Amino acid sequence: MPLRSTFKKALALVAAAVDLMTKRGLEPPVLVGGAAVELYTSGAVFTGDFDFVTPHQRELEAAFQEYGFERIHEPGYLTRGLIHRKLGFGVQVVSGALMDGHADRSKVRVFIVEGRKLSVIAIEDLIADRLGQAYSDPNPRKDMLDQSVKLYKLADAIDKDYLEKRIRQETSGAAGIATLERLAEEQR
Amino acid sequence: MKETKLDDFERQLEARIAKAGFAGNGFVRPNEGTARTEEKRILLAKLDELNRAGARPLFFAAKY
Repeated sequence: MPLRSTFKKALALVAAAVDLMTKRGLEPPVLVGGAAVELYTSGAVFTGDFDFVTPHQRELEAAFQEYGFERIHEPGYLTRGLIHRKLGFGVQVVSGALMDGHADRSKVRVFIVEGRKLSVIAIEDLIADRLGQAYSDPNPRKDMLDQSVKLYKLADAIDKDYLEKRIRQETSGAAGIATLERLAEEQR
Repeated sequence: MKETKLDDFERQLEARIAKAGFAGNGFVRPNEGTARTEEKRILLAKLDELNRAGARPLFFAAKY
């Protein structure tokens, strides 16, 4: 189940825009959210909007505009998102700090996409994020539980100490690696 | 930071997917996104509208 060709085209385009940031001496933005899940699971979960974390929102949006993204000029419309009409997907700066500063930036993974670097949230932080969203509801959300289990099952390398710490942080102690392993077992 | 070529990663991941026993579209599901912000819902609704107007398949499964 390879990555969708449209998703790979989109990745190449956002990597090109991110590359402009690096060339301008700015810290590379980090891809987070559903697009990162799609990447780490090879399309097991699919999304269509690319969320980035960067303290340089204005500069990143300007870089995206150089690659054909545009704002929608309608009353009361977006302040953060841009869309690419031809490819039909959107980008959005969702935060200035990675996981509100709780994530270890050195664990960010860099993918080389058509010769350009694209920084992506570490899989441990992504799993913790999905579990955190799942447990933010009194009845843990099945879609987020499912995503966290798929990420865990398909990870090529995991720092288990870091993962345990981050899950505990994001779920306020409601879950840990044992939770993931139990859920994975239930899905067998 | 760990650097990985996308094509290499994709190849290795496909092998792990096969080993994990995932196969076919039954494994694929959309990001339901029930925690989306209002801005995100507006963005996705607009993309859906643009794609419908262009009579082309949506890039993704929009749930907003």
